[in-house]
Amino acid sequence: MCLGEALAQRWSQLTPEQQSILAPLKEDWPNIEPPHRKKWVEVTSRYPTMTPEQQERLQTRMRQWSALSPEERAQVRERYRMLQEMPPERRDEIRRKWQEYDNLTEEEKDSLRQAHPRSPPPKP
Amino acid sequence: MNEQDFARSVTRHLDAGLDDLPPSVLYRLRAARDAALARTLERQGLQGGADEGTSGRHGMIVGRRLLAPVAMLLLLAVGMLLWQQQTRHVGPAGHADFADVDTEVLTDDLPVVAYLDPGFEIWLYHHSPATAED
Repeated sequence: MCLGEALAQRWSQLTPEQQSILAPLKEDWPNIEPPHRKKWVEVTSRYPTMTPEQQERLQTRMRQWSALSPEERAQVRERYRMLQEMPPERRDEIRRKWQEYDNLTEEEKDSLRQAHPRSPPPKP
Repeated sequence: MNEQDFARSVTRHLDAGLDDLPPSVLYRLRAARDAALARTLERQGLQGGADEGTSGRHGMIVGRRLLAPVAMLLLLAVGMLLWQQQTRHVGPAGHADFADVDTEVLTDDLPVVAYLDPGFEIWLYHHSPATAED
């Protein structure tokens, strides 16, 4: 065990409130690296200041995040960085396009997914 | 006659009388000298033993002197380790580390699935004036 891991907070060391907020990450917690754990603990301190919608969104995102493989997480991080490097108007457009895409029916989305050259089998 | 002249006069009289000392006095002087030498040698012997005793303390002092730089190196190594721990996740473009990105991604307007959904990528390519970057 490296020193950083020794200094990292174990799940049992979190307060009940922190455990409740970070519940979607509980199974993944031992695999989360110490700097990441620290950031998540910081998120719990901001959590009470979030609106109920923001809190619900964060819970959903954490559940989605914990279900991703390490490769998928690396891909998300890389694309997020690329998005941050784009001009603000382009970022706004991508967000707007996501809203449009999200409003499509599942059949329409599946049709688009099938059209992707590197499309993996659709997830259930 | 000043003080120095008086001292020279006394020394001259004493030196002149040395050759005329009786054998009994010479014997007592030699015995006193031998005794004084013996005491001196004995004291030096004790000092030598004491020196051997202090060599342990000396070793400890040398040990402490060696320990200080070793401790400094150890602290330096621990510092480097912690620094690496904190910085090894920094991205190539100098962005915030992975931990920052993770929390930002999960609190951003765009959901996580948007970055992985191939259907959205196609939607961007074919329904957007600008080409999505891959």
